Amino acid sequence: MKKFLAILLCKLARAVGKPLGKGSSLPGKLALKVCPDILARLSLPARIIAVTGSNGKTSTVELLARILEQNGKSVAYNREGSNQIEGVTTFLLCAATLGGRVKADVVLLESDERFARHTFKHLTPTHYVILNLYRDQLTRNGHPQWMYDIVKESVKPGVHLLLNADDPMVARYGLRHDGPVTWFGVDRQPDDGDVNSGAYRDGAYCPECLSPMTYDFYHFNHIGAYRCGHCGHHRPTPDYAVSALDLAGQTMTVNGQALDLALPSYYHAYNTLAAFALCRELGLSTQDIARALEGYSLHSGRVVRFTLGGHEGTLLTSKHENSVSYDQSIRAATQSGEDCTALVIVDAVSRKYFTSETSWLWDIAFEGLAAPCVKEVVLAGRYCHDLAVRFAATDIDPAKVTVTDDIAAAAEHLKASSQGHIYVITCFSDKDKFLSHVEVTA
Amino acid sequence: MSVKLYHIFPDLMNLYGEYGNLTALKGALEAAGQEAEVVKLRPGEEADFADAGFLYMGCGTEPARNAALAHLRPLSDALREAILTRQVPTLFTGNAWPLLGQSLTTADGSVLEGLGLFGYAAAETRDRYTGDAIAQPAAPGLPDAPAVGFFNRCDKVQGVETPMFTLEMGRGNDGVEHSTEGFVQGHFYATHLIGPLLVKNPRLLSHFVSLLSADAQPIDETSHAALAYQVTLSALRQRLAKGN
Repeated sequence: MKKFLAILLCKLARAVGKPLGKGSSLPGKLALKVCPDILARLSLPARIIAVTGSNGKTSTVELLARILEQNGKSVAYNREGSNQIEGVTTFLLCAATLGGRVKADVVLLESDERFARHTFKHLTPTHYVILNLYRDQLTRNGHPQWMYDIVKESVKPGVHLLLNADDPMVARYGLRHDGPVTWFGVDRQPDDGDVNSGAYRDGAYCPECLSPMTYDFYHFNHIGAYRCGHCGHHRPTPDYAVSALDLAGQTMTVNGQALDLALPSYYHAYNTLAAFALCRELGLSTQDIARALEGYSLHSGRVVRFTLGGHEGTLLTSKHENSVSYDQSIRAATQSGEDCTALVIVDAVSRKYFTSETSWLWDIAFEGLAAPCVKEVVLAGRYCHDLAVRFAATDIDPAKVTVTDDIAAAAEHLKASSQGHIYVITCFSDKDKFLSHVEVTA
Repeated sequence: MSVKLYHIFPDLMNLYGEYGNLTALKGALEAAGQEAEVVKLRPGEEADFADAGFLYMGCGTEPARNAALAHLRPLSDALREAILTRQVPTLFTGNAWPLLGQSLTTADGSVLEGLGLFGYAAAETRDRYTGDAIAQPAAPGLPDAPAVGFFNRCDKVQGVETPMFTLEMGRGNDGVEHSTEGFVQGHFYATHLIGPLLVKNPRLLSHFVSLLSADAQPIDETSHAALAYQVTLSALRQRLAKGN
């Protein structure tokens, strides 16, 4: 009876709340109040797929849903990306009959790194994709080693793990796992370096034994082909490997199959690779997966094109407190070598909480903006002076750098005097403060 | 003559941006007409610190900290000589400074012997505490201005009689709000404020410059560093006023 009531309450709360634009957490929260073990009482589909990692969870879940739905599978997942237990409860109960049977072939769970261990108490995944572990939101997450330990609690014996072979921290989950492990990775690419081009070296020491680790190549930061000379921890040979990666052309080849990329970013290549690996393991053919990805565009709003006066620009959504995401945006802004102006905005540091912590600015390789194609850099937002101090430690000519705390003034300045394409690098929590001053085109 | 600024275990003990402390100090010394160079000392490398003008070690993950302790042991006598006898200006931040105390009890209950330069002892808990801080100077000689920064720790330190700060915001050595934090003895400064502390706090930076150069420059209140400090201090004070 409690189960029935909880499901009914959740569906009603959702029906009332959704048209009003209310979030997806509250209905699940109500249901959990009525019936705390509601998740354990559902009859679930045979396949429950969870995705976690510092970056790329939402995109990977969207890609998986796309591929599976295009191939005739019904999928239950949270389209709004709320990845804590309340949000998960909401979408599962909304997809269930009043008797508690979830009407879908597959359940997809985007799992917050910190909450997976709680969600999975009631809901055991059959497949678990772990994308990466980066320095991310350390004001709440502590550090990647701490996150490793927390995520470890959610890795249960028997679950089929799909792991990023190129991330030495993630690869540890496969070392002593009692269950199937499938590896995905990107093979050496022409642009890869022999040295870590990031501002810090998280791959310098083996995450297993803390001895020095060497790399054959780095894709970016600590992601690449590593080997520990002491304990032997090394990049496993991927079962699914990207042989050729053409970011500008938005295509890559995995196990001989060409795949379209919805976004021209290294991140997205990994997300697509993970989705491909999982769908293959579920039995889809390479051709069916490739067809589902043809011409697919993500609606995540991560890349926003705009015009400002006579200038064209692109906003590259990054994440504050996540240096790898900034490094990727800097790479995207400079990789074509065409003249550009860069605007970096840090106005509210945290996406969710209050903090004034700016140490993470020193983890970003802003040195990349010293490229000759970058004609001017504008630093804006409440923390523009912290940015300015960080930039003063780079080789970037101070005459090229303009600093203002006023985002509107920064937009005016760009309108009057920017050279080449405008790239705006900021967090989704700050991006609307800029986009309100421009014409968004796509 | 160039002052050597030692960065001990720069990649191993690095939660975020700790190298900024050396960048800031080198820059400030050069602005005061004093040449300086950063010497990166990696685990396993030998050093007697005879030429050291300044020593720094930053915060690491807990496994990295345990590894760092083992790598520090062979340097124990050299550190003792430099820090206690020669009074080389030194800054240890985060979980680096407990390594120089009597002991470190890890979360699983094992007790690791510290280097024993100082009398305090640390114990790790299973709870992590992260949060912003406003830290008022508590040790004689420190600049009369609050420091701003961030805590990210899971240990408590007992037996400190000469703390570096009294906290206006944040939890101190004992894990209690508004208590005292860090440790100072002679020219050895220790705090759990992590990251590029000297970047965020121009007055604290100036203090270290004055220990290393006769020609410390007055702080330019219109500099980006000074403005950044004011922005953070006022943001944190606003938050305190709101009571959250």
